Amino acid sequence: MNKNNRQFELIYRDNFNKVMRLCLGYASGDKGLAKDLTQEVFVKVWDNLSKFREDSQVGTWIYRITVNTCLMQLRKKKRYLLKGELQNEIAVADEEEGSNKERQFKKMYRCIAKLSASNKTIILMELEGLSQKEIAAVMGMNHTAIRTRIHRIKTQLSKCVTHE
Amino acid sequence: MNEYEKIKQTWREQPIAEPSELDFKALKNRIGQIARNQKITNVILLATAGVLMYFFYFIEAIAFKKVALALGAMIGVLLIRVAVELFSIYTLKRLSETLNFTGFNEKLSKYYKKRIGVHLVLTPIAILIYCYSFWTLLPSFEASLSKGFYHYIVISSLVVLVVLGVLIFTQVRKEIRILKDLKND
Repeated sequence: MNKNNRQFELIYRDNFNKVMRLCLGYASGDKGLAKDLTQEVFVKVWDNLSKFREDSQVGTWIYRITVNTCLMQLRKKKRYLLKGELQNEIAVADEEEGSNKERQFKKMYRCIAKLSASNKTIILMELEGLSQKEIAAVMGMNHTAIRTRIHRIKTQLSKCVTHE
Repeated sequence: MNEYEKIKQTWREQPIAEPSELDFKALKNRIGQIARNQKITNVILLATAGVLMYFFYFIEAIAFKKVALALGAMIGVLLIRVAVELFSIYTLKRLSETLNFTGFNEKLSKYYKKRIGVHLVLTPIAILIYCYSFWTLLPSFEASLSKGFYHYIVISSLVVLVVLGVLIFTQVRKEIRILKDLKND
């Protein structure tokens, strides 16, 4: 196994969970789609591995690839957007049957799905526990703008979850 | 605990299975498959160009100036359109996902603007040249082919034209939607 392969496997194992969680957020909780997106993200990681500089932060690098890949893949899938709406309807119908935890997940995914792509990206990283500085680096925005937007999105998300 | 903290708590409790050996194998297979597909595409394109050139030589098109010109134009616009498409795929692949969100979106918007330009200007010109060349070849076809085969060529080319038109329309609509989506964000 050469150095690239070893490094790739290490990156894969260390980052799989956070990439999968972020993809789940983009895929409104659709596990199958999130798995496909995660695989696509790691294909891109492999493609870009030679360009990765060891001195830069692997976390920010992975998040950039995840955000750009997930959004690009989902934009291509118009059917998914329709399916997403359909899923939301099914979720409402199923809500009575699911456990309390499942209901909370569905409600959270539905509210995240209502956000714009950039707001969704910011809040998913906030939920993942990234610092505002790291979020600003992934988004290519300044820290102050990110702080203001996080505050606004938190309020919007909380209101949505309360009224759903 | 406020509402947002409860959401954050729910987020952390999402059940995510650890990646298995099988998942990693599937990923490596996918990476290998992509590389193989790229090689196959290159072989197919080279073979197509070879067949077209052989056909050109085989029917001794060069001996008939008008036929040679029309066939040459048809092959030329096809090759140009394929080259543009390949360049476009290459450009999209080279868009680095390691850029930040804002930078990546800007590059993606520029890419789709160029694509729509190709669809709305270059593609209609290519189709017009192709159709006109084909139309000028019809008398030669009628003279040298059987009636049934001649009708088959005319009808099938019309069907291909309609199908192509629908495909291009669908693609343009999809790319305009993506561009709008990128601008709205």
